[in-house]
Amino acid sequence: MAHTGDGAEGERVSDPVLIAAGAADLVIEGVGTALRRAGSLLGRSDLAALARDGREELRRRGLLALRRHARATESHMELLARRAGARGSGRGDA
Amino acid sequence: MQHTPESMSALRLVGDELADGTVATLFERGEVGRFNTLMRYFSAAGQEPPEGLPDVAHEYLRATAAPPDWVDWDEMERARLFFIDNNVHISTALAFSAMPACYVIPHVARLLSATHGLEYPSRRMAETGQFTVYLMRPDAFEAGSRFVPAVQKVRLLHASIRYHMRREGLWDEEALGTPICQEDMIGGLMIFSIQVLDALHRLGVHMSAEGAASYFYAWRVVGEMLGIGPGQAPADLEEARLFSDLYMTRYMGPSEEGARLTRQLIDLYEEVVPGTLLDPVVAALIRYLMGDTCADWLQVPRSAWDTAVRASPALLGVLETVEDRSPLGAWALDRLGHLTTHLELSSLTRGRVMQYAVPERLREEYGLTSTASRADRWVPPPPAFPS
Repeated sequence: MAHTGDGAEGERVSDPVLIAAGAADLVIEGVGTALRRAGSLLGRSDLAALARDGREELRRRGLLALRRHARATESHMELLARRAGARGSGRGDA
Repeated sequence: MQHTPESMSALRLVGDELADGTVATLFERGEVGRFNTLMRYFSAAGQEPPEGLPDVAHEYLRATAAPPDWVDWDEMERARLFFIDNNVHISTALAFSAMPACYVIPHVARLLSATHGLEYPSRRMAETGQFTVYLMRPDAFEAGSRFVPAVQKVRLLHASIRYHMRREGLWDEEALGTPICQEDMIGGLMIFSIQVLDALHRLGVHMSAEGAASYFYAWRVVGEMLGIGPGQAPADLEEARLFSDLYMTRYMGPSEEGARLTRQLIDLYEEVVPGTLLDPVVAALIRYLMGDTCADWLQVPRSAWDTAVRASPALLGVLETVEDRSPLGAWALDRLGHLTTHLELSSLTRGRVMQYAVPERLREEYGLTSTASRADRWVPPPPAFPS
């Protein structure tokens, strides 16, 4: 299936899935950066906004991770179906 | 043999002379009821046919008792090992790819819909599962095996469907040729053999060339026992690719019956999956294996899981790499696969006779393991037509 823009893809994949994928991606990439950020958190007054940003970042990271791991190739059956569809799926006239 | 569209069209006119003749005689003589009652007690190869069985049935059972004389038993042994290595993946491919593939051929979907007993996918799934399990038993072709009688009965079941479809005018013979004709039987063989291998590949399963070839070989033997004319089925995976692609592109398309059967199949699997959270994964997996065009023809619902499922082969690929490299990892994953298959099948069959554990005997009692190098990976041939 051809990938559509971020918006369409994001709508079809629910947030929990994206966030989980984003979190997994974060773990895989290494938690060092996150720990460094956490250290400077305590002195901030805009924690709520920061949490929102963090959630959004995880969501987008998840989207990218899924896209990275999703296979770009089509199934063999899809190639056959497109060919059959293009020919108007005529009976017995391959 | 290598087929062309013309040779395939000729196969549409041919059924299964031996089984069709047997069934026609049983009906003509009013012996079907007696035959069915007595055959319930005939379930093991080498068993004496029940007393009182009509003569024509005796003759049929005698003529179909042996596998083809060209069978290479070493190859069959390799097929069994391939099955043991990949049991959970093969079950998944049969359930989520082979069953919907039957529904994407409109005249096959119509035939399955019209035959009362096969209307419910659960029964056909259980029958197919049982059939495969019987085939993969170490003693499948020896005295006492349940496989040979199962083949003999399925072949007669097909013949009786031909008989009824024609008699009741449920089949457009002018347009479609014979019901369950040779072309459809070979097409079915492709769906359960090379197309299952295609699905395994798409799931990220690593297969050896030897394993893939032997899996196909076993189905070719079964095909001939089920009534495919000697020498008519594709001889190897290359010829299978050609036949399979030609067959599918000749006929595949949307149909009401296909969509209805698919809906029933999805409902059935969703019942098997515990809870409701993961229910959409069923449709997503079918969509992933079949592709969007077929899934839309079959009206497989779209969901948020479609993208997530596309990433699953990456996960399976990691597990397969562990299995390729580490004997301990291979053992752990093998146990997990065994448990999953057991759960999957026992849920599907709701406790009916389905002993999936039997192939274990090969490993534990005879100490056999697959010797084929998994590093020598097999990937399906590309489409047979120029793109």
